[in-house]
Amino acid sequence: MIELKNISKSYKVGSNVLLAIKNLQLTIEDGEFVSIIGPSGSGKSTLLHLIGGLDTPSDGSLLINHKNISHNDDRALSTFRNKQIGFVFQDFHLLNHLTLEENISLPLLLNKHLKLTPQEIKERTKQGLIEVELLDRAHHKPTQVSGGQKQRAAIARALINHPQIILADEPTGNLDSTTGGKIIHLLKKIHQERKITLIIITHDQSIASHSQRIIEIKDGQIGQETHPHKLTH
Amino acid sequence: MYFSLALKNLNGNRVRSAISMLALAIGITSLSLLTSLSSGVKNYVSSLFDAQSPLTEIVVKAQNNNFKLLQKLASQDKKNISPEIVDEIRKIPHVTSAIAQSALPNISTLQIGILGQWLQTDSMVFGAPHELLSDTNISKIDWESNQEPYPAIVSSKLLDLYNYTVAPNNNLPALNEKNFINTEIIILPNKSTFFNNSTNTISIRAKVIGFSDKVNLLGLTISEKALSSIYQKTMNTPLQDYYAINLQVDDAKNVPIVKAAVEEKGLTATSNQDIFNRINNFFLFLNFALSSLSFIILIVAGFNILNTFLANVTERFKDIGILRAIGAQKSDILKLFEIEAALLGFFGSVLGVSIAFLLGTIGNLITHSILSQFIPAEINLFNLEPLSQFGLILFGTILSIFFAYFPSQKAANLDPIQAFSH
Repeated sequence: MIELKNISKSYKVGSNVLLAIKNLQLTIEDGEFVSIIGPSGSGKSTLLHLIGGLDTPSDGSLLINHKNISHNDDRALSTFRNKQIGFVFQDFHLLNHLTLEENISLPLLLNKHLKLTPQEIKERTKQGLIEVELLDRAHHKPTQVSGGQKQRAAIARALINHPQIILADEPTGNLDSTTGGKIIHLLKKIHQERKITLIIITHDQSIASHSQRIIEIKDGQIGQETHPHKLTH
Repeated sequence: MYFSLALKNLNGNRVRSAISMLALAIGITSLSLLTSLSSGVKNYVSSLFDAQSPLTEIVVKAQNNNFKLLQKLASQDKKNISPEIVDEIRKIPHVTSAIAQSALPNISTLQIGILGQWLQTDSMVFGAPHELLSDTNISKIDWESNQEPYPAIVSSKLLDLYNYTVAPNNNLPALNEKNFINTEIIILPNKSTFFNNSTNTISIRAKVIGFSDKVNLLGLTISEKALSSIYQKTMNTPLQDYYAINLQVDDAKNVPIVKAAVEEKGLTATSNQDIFNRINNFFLFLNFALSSLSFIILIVAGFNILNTFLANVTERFKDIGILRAIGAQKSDILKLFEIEAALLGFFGSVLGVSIAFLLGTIGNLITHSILSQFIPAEINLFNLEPLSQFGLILFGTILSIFFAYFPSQKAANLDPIQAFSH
């Protein structure tokens, strides 16, 4: 469960202080599929970065499974991101000099607790590639594949450590509508099969409509909240 | 994981990495060549030194008899070594032989007639038993001849004196050692070309039969018996003591022990090791001076590495952000960049050492073919010792890690969000 209690996040821009998130209260249950919508600069990405442990709140508490991670040090936050979070970004964020297989295996290699053998890493990466239907592109570099394939590789990388939460920041933003639709269906399928928490940031209402809950962020605060689908589990 | 990722990152920035590697390789090559040249020259000089004067040799003199030539001229109180002391020294443990040398107490004038010109110089006249010439092919019978001209061995400095002063001034040809053999020398004991206080009344004829800088650097050496006879004639007393003792020690490592035992008896002991150590110190200084020059090149290479890594970090902000997002800790990023630096340093150093090895080998082949009569086959002018080359590879690697530390630290401390925003 994700609990945000009176979370605020401010940035210093020159001599001014910019309040990106203001006293935000939010609870997301395990296994929920949540869409966060809102205009540009409303604080959606900041919220996602806070939940994913990429950033720390200026004020308030962020609890993941009842554990406050707001004041965790870099080491603990890195471990948290590696083991419990899977990020999917609009720009795919793959390392261009590595193959898709190597990109997907990176979180496993950074996981200091698993202690997998190279063979086990290879096997698990292969399963990931099969899951996103990219086995035939395993040895291709990101520059050699399409946008949809890149995003599928990014999803496989996000899933490789079996995280509890997937955070997707505009995952279809750089894809055409057909490919974007396929990516959303893939994410939805994974959410249903693995029963993981899926949080998507999107501008697209049609994408948001796939989720169980749509939260609108406006000026760093929660605005309207709708429930297009009820929880199925 | 870090190694393969670091290798791929270096490969991703091929041109920049290659330039940095080349800069480091140039520094390592120059350091390797200069140090190996210094070591090779040192070995060469040591081999010459060792061939002439083994490191197991000690020259023993009385306390006040260890003066330089001009000091000797002025010295009135001349003490020598008695036969009893020679016997005592022979009994010192580790001494394998002790050959006593006698000398005329005062400077003598040597007159040497060569090609109609007279060369006149001052010299000490020494007497030595045949054992001292055991390394030469001079027979005992020839050496101990009782008739004038007495067989004499002289320093090649005498020949130099002729070749550099008499010959050019009189348009005479220069002579080599072979031409100088059988040249007659007239010895005028107790006479100096510097001081006109001569009491000399006699002259003795000697004949050059060889050269030995090993026995005396400036003097003329005749047989002990001949010297004894001249001594009797000039001093009107029999020769009773010795000027110096040439000691041979069983092992070079025992030289300090024997030296200490000799000095305990109130005598001075000069070992070739002392001279060798002075030569060593000189080469140590030379090595230091040459290495300092190479260090400057290496520092420039180091700054090149710093610059490369600063550019790498700036260029890879996004990659760093991605790695941080998927769980890389600050220490992982630091390790990754430092391993890249270590690999760059290692490959650059291996390249540098390889170039030095190639150039050094070519240099050795050339010097051996051109200077074969001077440089023994077993001596390489570029002494590329494997251990020092490994040391250089290690040094180059550490240097690269050192200069890449600041950019690596910068990369590690990068905020993940900031990294993405780039």
